[in-house]
Amino acid sequence: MGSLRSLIHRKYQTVKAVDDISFEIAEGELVGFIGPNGAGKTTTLKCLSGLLYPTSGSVSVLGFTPFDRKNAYLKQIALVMGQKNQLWWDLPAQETFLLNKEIYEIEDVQYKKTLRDLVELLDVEALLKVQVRKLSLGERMKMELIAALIHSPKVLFLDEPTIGLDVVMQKNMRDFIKSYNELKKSTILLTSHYMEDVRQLASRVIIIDHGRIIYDGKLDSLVKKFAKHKVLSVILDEYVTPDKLKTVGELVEYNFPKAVIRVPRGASNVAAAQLLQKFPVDDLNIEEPDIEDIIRDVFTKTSF
Amino acid sequence: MRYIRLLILYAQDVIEYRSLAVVWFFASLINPLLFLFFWKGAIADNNPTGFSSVSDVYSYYFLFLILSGFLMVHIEHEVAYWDIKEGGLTKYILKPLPYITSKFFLEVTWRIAMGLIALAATMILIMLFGQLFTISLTPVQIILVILTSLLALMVSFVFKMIIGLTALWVVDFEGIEQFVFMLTLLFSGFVVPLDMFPQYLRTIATFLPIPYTIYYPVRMFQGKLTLEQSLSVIGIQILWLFILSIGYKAIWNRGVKRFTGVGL
Amino acid sequence: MKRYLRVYIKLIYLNAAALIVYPANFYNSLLASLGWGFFSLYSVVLLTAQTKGAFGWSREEILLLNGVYGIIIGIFHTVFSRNFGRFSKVVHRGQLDSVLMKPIDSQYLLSLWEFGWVSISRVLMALGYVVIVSRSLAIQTKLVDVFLFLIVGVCGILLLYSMWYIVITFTIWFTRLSNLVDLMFNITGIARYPRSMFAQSAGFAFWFLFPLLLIINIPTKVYLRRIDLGEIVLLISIAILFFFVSRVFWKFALRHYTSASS
Repeated sequence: MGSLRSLIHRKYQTVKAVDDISFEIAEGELVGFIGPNGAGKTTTLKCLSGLLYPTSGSVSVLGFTPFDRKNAYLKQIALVMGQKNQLWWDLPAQETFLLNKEIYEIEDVQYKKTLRDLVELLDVEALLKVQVRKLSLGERMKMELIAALIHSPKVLFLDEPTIGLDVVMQKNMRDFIKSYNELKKSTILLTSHYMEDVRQLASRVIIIDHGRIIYDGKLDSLVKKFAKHKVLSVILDEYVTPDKLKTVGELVEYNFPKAVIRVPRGASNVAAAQLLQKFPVDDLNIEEPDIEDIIRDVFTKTSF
Repeated sequence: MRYIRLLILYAQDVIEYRSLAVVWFFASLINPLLFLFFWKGAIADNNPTGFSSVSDVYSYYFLFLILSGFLMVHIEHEVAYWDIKEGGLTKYILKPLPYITSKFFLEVTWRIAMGLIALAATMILIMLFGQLFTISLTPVQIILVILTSLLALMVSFVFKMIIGLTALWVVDFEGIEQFVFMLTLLFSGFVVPLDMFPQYLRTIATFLPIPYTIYYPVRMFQGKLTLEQSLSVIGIQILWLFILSIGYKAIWNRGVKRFTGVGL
Repeated sequence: MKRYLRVYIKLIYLNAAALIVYPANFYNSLLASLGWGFFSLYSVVLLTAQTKGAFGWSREEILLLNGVYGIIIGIFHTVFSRNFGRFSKVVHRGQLDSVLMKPIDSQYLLSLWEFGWVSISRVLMALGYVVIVSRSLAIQTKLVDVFLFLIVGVCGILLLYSMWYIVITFTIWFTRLSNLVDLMFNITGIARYPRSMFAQSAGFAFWFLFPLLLIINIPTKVYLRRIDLGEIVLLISIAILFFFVSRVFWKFALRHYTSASS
């Protein structure tokens, strides 16, 4: 009767979400924060946007202290977080845009131009007058983006922008972010636990784990050094001895019928072909190494 | 015994929602208290027929409070929203236990919990403000009171189940729910006892099961009904139970077909 | 500022547009609103059916008091109620973050986001009721009286709003208490009764209820020409005080919300 006990006595625990983080970001940069779930990414974004009050240290964005949440500051930033929606459900998205226009005090001319740019970039011209509740998930997301960006923020915080999306939508989102950064020259900080997001978008990457920064620098060097491998995950039809599998690459895990083999990045296709030719394979997947693996690698290396 | 298990399972449900329940409880205390305040002052000047004395007023509203905790069923909300609109009904249909039986056990748990809370609050108020009223019943009356309360609970239950099932045919259940709620407030004697109603309202009341779910049990508890009157109340309760049960069966049979047919 | 007015006009428009999209819902809400309006007025008729008067008020005066309650509560429902109803949901689902990110006062946005067009029907109903009851009281209204009534009425609404806002702010700490609104509705119902009805009651409860008892009582007394300047000043000052407290308390709650995590 656990619930009966909790009627009388509740327990609480203190958790440090972010513990000693420092960095500087210049205007127009597109920076990716990556790290496993619970690393402190969202907390960092919330501090930067003014939603959380840091227990110690200082935060400065565009010359403002975010936590003051001054209107002048809020008018220049945007925070886009997951599925939180601000569109009015029963009305066309356009109406929400107009509401935001009033709230952010956007001039008519500026509003029309920004709207046109965004609509073109996202290709949603035909959907402006459609009730939000009738839009598909992908279309709704596009409208949410427009609503969030209609005031042309100088700094954009994106929290896990591709989470929960299918492959096509992920690509569209990445393309949009890249184009937006190029077009508007705005500073973008995005968090993700997908390597692919960062690979496609960010020239600079900051890795966070357990609330601390582990790496801060160019993406190229990080990839070259640590994402050197690809992972082949195989389902076998008949039993094959581990030794035989090891001829293809490093055998990371073997629980018949599943085997996981690590091969150098460039050799992944060759290795896949080998597996399919030599062994009775039921299913084969070529995957990126888990970000946890990469971070573990980064952790264990003492110098770059 | 699986029924005990069921009761315990549902009791955990109730405890989970403890904070909500506490708020609801205080909310429901306020109006009866207000009526008490009103009558305390008004009774001296006015001599209304329904109340013979101030202690009469107290016993009426407090008994109403306690009995409504134990007897007023609210199952229609769940039936309409969780079971029908959101499809939870499927898991009941798949069980070897009839839907109405499962719901009955769920409701009984809530009633016992709510009733005990109401009883506790009344005890506290009595401790704070002193003996406000007395109830003296003969053994015969006590038996009749228990009988009428059980019948009242069942009548209220089947009635609300039927109301809940209308969600199978009606898009806007909220409208029906509000309407039935208002009717219940009015004809249960929540505002004033039914003998203080204007004549036309009393006539309407005779055609509804609602007075037999709370009002008459309260009056019996107060000892205001003669043996003859008490027996006739019980008789009418049995009649209502009979009518509503038949109605429920008919509606349930039609309803299940509709629910599993095209899918809502 | 002008911007706040413009945003509000836009919000009222959006609420109207959203209402028209589903006419069936609109009619149902309208019926429910009229139903409750009727019940609210009728229950006091019933309560006083066998009473000639009490607490220094005649029966007609008590009915009038309830009518004024209907008007003020109707306006409250139109402008504020729905927002209090959605408050717990907004906090619980993290939508408060989205509100805080807007360059506009959060209390303003949360209090006025939804406009209950349908509740205007209740205001009209109560207005009609007051006119009818007034006839039996033979009241003649002068322009000055109407003006004074409006001022006092507005202060009453401000006080009611502020009290509600203070209570609903507790949702920041107690996110699961989604039915705080129900409790508040029941407590607000106290305002429809004559203040003198509580004159003898336990001191503590009386002081707690005190502001509530001003909201309807004083405007009604003004209407009945029983003008007591002291009481009017009292209402106005308490209204302003409570509004001030609601702002301070809200800012305090936000500090707590943004220092813990969601």
